[in-house]
Amino acid sequence: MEWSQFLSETMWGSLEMLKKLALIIFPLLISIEVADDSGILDKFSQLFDPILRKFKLSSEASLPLIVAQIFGLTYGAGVMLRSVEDDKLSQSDLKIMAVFLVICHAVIEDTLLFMAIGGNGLIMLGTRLVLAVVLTFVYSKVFIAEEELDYDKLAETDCC
Amino acid sequence: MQEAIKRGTKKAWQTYLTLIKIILPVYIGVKFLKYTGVINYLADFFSPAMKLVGLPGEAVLALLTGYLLNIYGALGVMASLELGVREITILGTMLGLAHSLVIEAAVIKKIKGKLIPLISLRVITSILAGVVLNLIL
Repeated sequence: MEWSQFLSETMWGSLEMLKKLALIIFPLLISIEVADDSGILDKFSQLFDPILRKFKLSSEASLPLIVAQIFGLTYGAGVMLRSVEDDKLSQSDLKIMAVFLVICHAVIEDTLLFMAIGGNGLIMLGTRLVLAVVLTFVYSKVFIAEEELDYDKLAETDCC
Repeated sequence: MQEAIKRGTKKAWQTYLTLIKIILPVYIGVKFLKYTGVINYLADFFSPAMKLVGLPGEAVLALLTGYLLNIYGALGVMASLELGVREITILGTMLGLAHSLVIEAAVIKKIKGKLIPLISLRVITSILAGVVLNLIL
């Protein structure tokens, strides 16, 4: 084993990764706070309420789901963790979101990368989205018991 | 506005630290596996099964690199293999559904997801999608 090559590749790779993470995490979370303050996010999230409801999700689920599509699972999970700490997401929310997110995240970047080397974007993206929606819907119907739902949180989506 | 930026920076820093603690050890561990050749050995072992998803034997390298390391690694392998549109589309769909399983397992654990069911779901969905695309494309 080439120890010197291993060490240098791992070290530079790590630094590169830490830089990439910082360049996404800081602007992202600061933008989210600013957008949150201005009320834009709430309005945008509300658009998804009727859909989220069909998947037994509370309205707070939309932001992490959107972030995970744009920036990837790690970032979506970061936003999810913050929402849990702020007590905005229930345990059943987490379970349902996890099923959707492990299958469907960072779809924009992934699809573009595979298209760049010659793949068919419509088939790749379409297959992934359809499978994620179907599997999440089945999971929410079959595995999430009614009594598990946090009605206080779901009630917030009932307003209009 | 200034308050929001301050709050955002603080949250970002805390989140960043949490993510580093997960991602850095896993990253180094996977690099080590790569250097010791364990990943290559696995690639040889699974080669015959690739026919089911309509891919040449050597494409198992891309699939395993994607599953175990990440999509970037898989892209490098795929580009060097000079695959056709059909093969890239099948591989791209399979890898989109399941990739970076080691690193993302740490993320799943962090959000308190159940590891084995969720990873199995991804891999099974990925393989079935490959089989179905092989039949219809």
